[in-house]
Amino acid sequence: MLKIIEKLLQSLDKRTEARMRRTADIAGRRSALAKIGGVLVGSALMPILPFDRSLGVAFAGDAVAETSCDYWRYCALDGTLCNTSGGTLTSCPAGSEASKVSWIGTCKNPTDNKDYLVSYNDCCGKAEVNGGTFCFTNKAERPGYLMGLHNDINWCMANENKGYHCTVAVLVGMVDA
Amino acid sequence: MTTSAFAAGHTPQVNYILRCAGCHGLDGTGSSIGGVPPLGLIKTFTSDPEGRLYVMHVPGVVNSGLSNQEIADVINYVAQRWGSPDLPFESFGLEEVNHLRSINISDVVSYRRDLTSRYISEGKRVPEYPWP
Repeated sequence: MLKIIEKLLQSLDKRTEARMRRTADIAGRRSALAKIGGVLVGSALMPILPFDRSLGVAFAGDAVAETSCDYWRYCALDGTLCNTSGGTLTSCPAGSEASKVSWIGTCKNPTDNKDYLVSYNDCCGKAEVNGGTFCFTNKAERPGYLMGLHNDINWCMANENKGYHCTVAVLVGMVDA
Repeated sequence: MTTSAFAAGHTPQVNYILRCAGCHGLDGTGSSIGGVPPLGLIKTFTSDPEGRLYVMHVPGVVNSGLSNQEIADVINYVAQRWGSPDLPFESFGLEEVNHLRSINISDVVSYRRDLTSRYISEGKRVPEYPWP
């Protein structure tokens, strides 16, 4: 069951990112200019167009490593990164299971300047590794007395195995979808 | 649902993802081990005056940090998205939410227990609720 959840989360992350890329291809101002520029290749107008050579690839060139707490997706994360604990950005390390409940935050992607909804699922049922990168960013978290807005919780509480291992960051939507 | 009501903030769907989906899930199914009921039977509550009062005192609603207008919009979104299609639904408006939230319920768990006992005796379906 929990493997299914993990696969679902990964597929959701991929789908969200793919959707954004498609949107960037179809609707992006810069990519529209890129396409117009493409049509006009060879014409006299070509040199004056602000031509976007990325052709709508919105995520190319992220400067910050995904293993750094400064990576944009980790803006509201409280935990150890799974990609420094044997897993990846969106998948739990072998032997651990994705949490059924999670903390969800909003982070701005500096590449396209859009706000994304990020689900921080804990991976459960395995001891933490030594040397994993611990991040404590927690953007938009509120104090503990505002229970529903407080992230300092073991999100493995809804799993059979409640031991905390690490945290993944899965894209689940956009604020301005 | 009006768009002007949340033009300055988030859409009900985004507020649901940000404030509710962490526990109730992106598909509204909740988590029985985590003590989070599914949302598919919400219309059992919203079809009844005492149930409408309860919905506005659910801990996750009270602690959501949303405004009363945003709460109305999110509950309407949830009922329309996951509520049983065979049950009618009357939307919440700001005035009703203001009124219901101004009423004090001292023990929301007991209130729900009494409510669901009555629903069961009336032959209505109610979601699992693991809290003692």
